[in-house]
Amino acid sequence: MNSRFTFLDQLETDLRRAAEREQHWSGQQLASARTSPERWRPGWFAVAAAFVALLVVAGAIGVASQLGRDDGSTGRFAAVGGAVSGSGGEPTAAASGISVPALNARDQLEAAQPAPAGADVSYDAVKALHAGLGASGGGKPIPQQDLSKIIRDGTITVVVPKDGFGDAFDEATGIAEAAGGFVLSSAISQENQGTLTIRIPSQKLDGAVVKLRALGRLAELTLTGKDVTASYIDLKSRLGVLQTQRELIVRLLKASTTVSGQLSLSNRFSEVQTQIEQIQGQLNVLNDKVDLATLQVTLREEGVAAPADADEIRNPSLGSAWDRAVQGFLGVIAAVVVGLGYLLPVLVIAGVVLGLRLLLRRRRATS
Amino acid sequence: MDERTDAQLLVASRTDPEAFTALYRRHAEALLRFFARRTLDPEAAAELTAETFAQAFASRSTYRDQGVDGVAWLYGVARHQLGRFFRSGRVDAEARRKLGMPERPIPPEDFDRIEELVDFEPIRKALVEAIDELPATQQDALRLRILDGNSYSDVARALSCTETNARQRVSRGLRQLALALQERGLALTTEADG
Repeated sequence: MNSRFTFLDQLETDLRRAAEREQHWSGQQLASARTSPERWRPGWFAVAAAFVALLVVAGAIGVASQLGRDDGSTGRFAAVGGAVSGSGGEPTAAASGISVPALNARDQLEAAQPAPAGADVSYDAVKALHAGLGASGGGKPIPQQDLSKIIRDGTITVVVPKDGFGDAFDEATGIAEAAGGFVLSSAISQENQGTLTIRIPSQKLDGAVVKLRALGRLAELTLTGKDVTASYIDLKSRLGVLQTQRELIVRLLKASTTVSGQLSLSNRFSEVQTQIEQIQGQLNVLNDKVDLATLQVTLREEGVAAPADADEIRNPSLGSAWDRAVQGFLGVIAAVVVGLGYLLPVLVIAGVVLGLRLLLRRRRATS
Repeated sequence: MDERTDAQLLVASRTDPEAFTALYRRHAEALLRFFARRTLDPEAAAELTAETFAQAFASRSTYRDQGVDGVAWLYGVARHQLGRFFRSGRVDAEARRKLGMPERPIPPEDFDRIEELVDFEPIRKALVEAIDELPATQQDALRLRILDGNSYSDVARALSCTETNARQRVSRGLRQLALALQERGLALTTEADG
């Protein structure tokens, strides 16, 4: 420079050396990146775009994960409901996959010698069974039975070929009867679509579903299995206790000599008898529901639109629209949060790598 | 003489060190005068000049030729350094440290030349008023150096101290004066400043 300031000349030399040092270490690594004088650097717009892209990716991952979860629950449901898959697999034994929790001794005894539905189990019979168990000392294992009581219901919608509605409707009725069931109710609309409510033995439900699917194209299939084993066992247990009470009241009534005593015992007898009948009625209903599955069959001709929710169309509600909007908003937020959870480990690793790179650069600059 | 504009030199300096040298040669003395007139302190002015160029070199890749003139960008860096100096009372050395540049002492002959850059005449009157507020040792040093125009060796002899000590007293006194004059609202700039 050769200025009149020695200091400025020295400064120029120092800057030159700094430039040489910089070129030395970055020359090889950054040569390609710096060949363009207008090297790209992320501005605020790029950062904002990257942030939005991150949220979109997170949302997509969240939605995908939710779908995955839904599939999983369907799978689980299919296992409970008897493995009727959408791809048309063969049905398995109805409701065989459900295990029943260990029962107490009395329940097992009752189960070992099941009385017919609604039959009276006498106190003596129970006592004799207890005694028999004591005499054998439990040496004879009680055979384990499938004690599960499962109510199976379902809905199926089949789209039948054009002009095939009448035949399909008749066939559906035939399928119900062939399986040992019956048509509880049926309704046919004018638009070549109709609904049947059929009741068939539970163990033949899956077979019937397969046959119904063969009537046309499956549009919808839902099978549910409700385990009522606990309620059933509870009712049986209460029934046994009440019957014991009834036996006792009868004996006391025979032994009673006073009018007031007989009157009081008689009142008590009618109370217990009423309760016994109520419970037997409930057991009958449960047994009926367990024995016979209820299947709602909807048959629709090809080209006929599925019935819409008529109420919603007739009474469009701002309240319900707002609720749906809020649910949609929260759903998107939830999906983004779930997706960020999936992305977090990746972001942390990327941050660590970036930080190390910056640290390395800084050290090289100072060395 | 490089005929490229300051903006072109700054952009080119990303890959071509000579471009930055050309920019330096073009503006180094003006920047030194800029600092000298604002700090009234040759040592601080020299250090601020060095730190500003080091900072400009380190962050030259952030400059974009989008209408902001190269020299305006350079003086933006300079004003930032000056602001930090007035706030903290010392000159940063971070950029020079990052670039591995040594902190060099100012050669004695440069002190006189840097002071020549500052046109003291317009502010001499205000200085006389402000100088009374300074400690006695700094007042004496400033009177001998600024008002009487003695050399540093003469000042040192008159004050019975070393030349370095005399320079420090003058330097500190001037820094105090600069702040005092700023408080009085006196502008220590001229149109020639960047």
